[in-house]
Amino acid sequence: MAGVESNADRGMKWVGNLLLAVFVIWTLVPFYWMLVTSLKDHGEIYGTEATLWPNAPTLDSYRTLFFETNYFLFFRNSMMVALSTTFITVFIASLAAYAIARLDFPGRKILARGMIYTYLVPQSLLFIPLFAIMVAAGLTNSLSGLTLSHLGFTIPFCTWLLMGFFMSIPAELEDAALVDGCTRLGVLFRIILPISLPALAVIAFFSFTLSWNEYLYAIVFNSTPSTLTLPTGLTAFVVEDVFFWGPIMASTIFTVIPPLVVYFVFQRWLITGLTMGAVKA
Amino acid sequence: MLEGRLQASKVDSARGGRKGGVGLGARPGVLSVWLNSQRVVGTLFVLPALLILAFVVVYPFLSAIWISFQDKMVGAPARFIGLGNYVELFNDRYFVKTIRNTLVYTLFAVGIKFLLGLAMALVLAQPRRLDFIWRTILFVPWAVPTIVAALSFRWIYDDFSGLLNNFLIGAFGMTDVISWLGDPNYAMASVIAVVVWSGTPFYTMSFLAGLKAIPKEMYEAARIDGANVWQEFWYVTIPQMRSVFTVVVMLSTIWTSTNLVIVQVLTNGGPANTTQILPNLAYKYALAASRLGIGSAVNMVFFPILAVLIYVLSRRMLAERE
Amino acid sequence: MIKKNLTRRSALKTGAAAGALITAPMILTSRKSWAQRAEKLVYWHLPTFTPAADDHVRDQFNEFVKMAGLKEEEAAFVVVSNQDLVPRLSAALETGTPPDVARLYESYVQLYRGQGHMMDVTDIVETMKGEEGGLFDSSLTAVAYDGKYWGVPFAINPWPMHARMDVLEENGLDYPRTWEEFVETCLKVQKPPFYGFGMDLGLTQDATDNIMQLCWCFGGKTVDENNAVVFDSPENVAGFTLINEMYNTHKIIPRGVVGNGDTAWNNKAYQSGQVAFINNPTSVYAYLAGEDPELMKKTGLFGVPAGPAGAINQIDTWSLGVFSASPEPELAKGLAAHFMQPSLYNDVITNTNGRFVPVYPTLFNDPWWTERPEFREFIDIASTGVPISYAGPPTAASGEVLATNIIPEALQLVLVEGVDPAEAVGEAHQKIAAVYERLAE
Repeated sequence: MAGVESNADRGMKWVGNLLLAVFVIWTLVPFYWMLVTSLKDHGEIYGTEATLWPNAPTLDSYRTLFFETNYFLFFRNSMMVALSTTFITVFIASLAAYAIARLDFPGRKILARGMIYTYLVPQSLLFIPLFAIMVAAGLTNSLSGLTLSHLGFTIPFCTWLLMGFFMSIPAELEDAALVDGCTRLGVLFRIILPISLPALAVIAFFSFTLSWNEYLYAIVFNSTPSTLTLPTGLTAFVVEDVFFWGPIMASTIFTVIPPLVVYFVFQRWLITGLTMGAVKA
Repeated sequence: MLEGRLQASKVDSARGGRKGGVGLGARPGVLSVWLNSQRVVGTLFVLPALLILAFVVVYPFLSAIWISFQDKMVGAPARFIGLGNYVELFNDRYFVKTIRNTLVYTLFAVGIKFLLGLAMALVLAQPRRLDFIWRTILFVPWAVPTIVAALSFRWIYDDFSGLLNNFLIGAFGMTDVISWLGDPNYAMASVIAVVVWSGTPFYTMSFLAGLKAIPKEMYEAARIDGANVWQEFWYVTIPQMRSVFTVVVMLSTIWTSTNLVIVQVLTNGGPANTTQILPNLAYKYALAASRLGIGSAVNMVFFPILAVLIYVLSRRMLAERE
Repeated sequence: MIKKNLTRRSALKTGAAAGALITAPMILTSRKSWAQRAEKLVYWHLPTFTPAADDHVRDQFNEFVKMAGLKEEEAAFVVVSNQDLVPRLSAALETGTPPDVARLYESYVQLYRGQGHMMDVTDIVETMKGEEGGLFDSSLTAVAYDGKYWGVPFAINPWPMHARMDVLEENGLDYPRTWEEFVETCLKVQKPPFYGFGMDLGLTQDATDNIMQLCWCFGGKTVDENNAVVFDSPENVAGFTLINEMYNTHKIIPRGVVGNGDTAWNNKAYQSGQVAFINNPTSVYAYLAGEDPELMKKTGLFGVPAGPAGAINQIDTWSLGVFSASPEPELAKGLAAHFMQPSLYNDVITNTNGRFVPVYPTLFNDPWWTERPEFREFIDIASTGVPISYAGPPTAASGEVLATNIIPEALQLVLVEGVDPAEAVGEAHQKIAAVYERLAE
């Protein structure tokens, strides 16, 4: 392709670069504000002027975060919950999405829509009956209980997102395999999922971050320090009507990093975008 | 149950793997006929999802609907009051305004996120040096907890110590500050901007994955036919992305219209109800006032609108197969 | 043939699965015994402003656990941050798993008492009244009902006006003693972006408090002594009118306050040196004591300026609630009584940097208070102040009026949309009356 680049291509590239610059600024300004705030001392945070770079950068807020809270314990708990949620979600959603997208079975449409309807009742109303179930099942104060509750909001949307992708895959691809005597499970794992790596990456990232940042279930279901997660640690820095901004922002920065690292490392899946030809070969 | 089936199919494939790498379970027999029945396989495949959802969502969901017909308060026994909660809501003259606000808020937030997300995805899909860095950067807002995003923006919007006013004064010589959240003319737009900031990566990343899934051959074919960039976009990209568009818009509409945190942190519905939306109102009733019954009823009001939307959007998708 | 058979089988399977799914939660809920907790004593602690005070509470808890002969794993000291308390307590009460003891804000004692969740703690309160000097009467209104006490008064929380003394001095002014003077003072000292009054007018609890303190000075009330709603009064209209003038005519209140979604922003305005006055509990003062002693030294604490009806100040009260679901009632009550022993209690209160005022008047003789003359007027408020439910006692209804922002919502119509104050007051009256009617006992 290189070498035959047309004027139109080059034009698009420049438009693209320009737009990208705008998007990057739009995305990073609020994040930059969080970062610089985490490096300011109290006086400057509450100064009359909004300084763009700390006059005297300090790591005090990070010291508070790491040495005065159970940050590392919370971090580990969050990681365990988010990773288990992600793996279970990807597995279960792949099966369900394939079935709904490709197979004919009783209750298919009802089930598909039913999943989405569950989003219509917000967490702020769901958490009380759900807590009752958790208490009855003895799943409060446990990381597996929290994981289970997170599956409730990751599975429906991941299933649907995957369905969207599966439906754009031409059916002929699997017909050949089925004629060859391949089972449905074989088709799913050998043909569909490999082409859908970008989609799998996307749902994995989304369920990881949603679980990683989930707050209400985490605070209501779990209370022992050994089962608390990162977002719940954040509220330690809000005392009544006063916000301790430095540590709040410091904790945000360190909460944001893991999803970004995961994204950064695994995004080559996203880029892959296998062509039909490659799969057939 | 399902694990058992998986085991069976593994055994099956080990025995019957004679047709090269392709033939998983190629032995024709009762088991494999059974395993290939769409009804059986389909049911088995959705079973795990169904089980978990029944446990963590369906029961709480049904109980929330039931509660909306009761005068339920937290921690107290309830009495069935029929449509009493709904009557009380519609007798409040701001309730209709709240519904209208929710519609406006959802429509604009979803529309802007869609366009912005599509533009970002198209830009990110272009071959470019360091593309993995740009992708990660545009993913950042999704990784920031919504509550912190809202708090940061609250500060950015602050009258005097806020970044935005300071920037406008410094760069454009604006003489008076704007109360981004206190002025009813700007409040809703300011709230929507935060929703857009924190929600766009969902669109960007889903669309990017969708773009990557479009076979390159289709573009090559279009080029050979002499299509220009715009024609490619309209006749190849858009049709191929239809399912992904549908799903993303549907999910995002639901999430946006039921999202509570941003409004609650920024304005809590003020000034003078200009940014009051249903989820925030539901929270006010259900938790602030401990009135679970009427809080549930607030949600149920939006239920039919979203239910119809889900039905319409999903109908085409669920029908178009084979 | 086979196909038909399979269909039936899979249909059966689906049916069985569906049946199991529907019944599972019911079976689970009916087996409450699974949820039997391991601990005999659970205390939910709301953090104060200073680690020192929190440490004292924790030590006292551990001490009590040891005295009661409990093993370490039989007792739980759970830290619950303020904004998480309501959701967590809601879920806990719904499932019958509340803590044994928790610190509750004002009207919640009455709300939960009405639902049968609070334990009668009259004996503890009577013992406290028998201590030298007794208790502040103002601390008892929130917990008394039907001749009994349903919560243990823990602390009083006055709402003084915080004033920038350095700014007043610069302009050769004294703290204004009437609302008229207050407006004049604000006009003299303010040069935007430095404003006069950081009044909270957002949809927040602080806004109701700020608004009513001003209205009270004009003779307005929410309810009378018998809990009859009297909000629709010329006095409250006068209060609304003055606030409207302060906001729209004199512009001594920053414009953005009507967009406040939470109560932190009026504090922030003061902490950032953007306003000369705020009306707030001493959370701000306690914060400054810890983080910005410079600004603390410039801060004076005063009662609110007077209106035609005098100067009426607000107090909040905090109480220790003992929950009736407690499996070991004697332990639970014992813990509350332990915390309230004057000497132990004094260690906690004097370590909160002035955040809380003791419920025992004699504790003001502690050097911590006598060495700080700036608290003199603040201490007076503890004995003369009234609760936000004035002129009635705190009730479930007054709590709901506060939590649902009925009053600031009405005032915002005046400030932002130009609605006539009388009309807004009348509308708020109807909503308040509906709440009091619904929650009448």
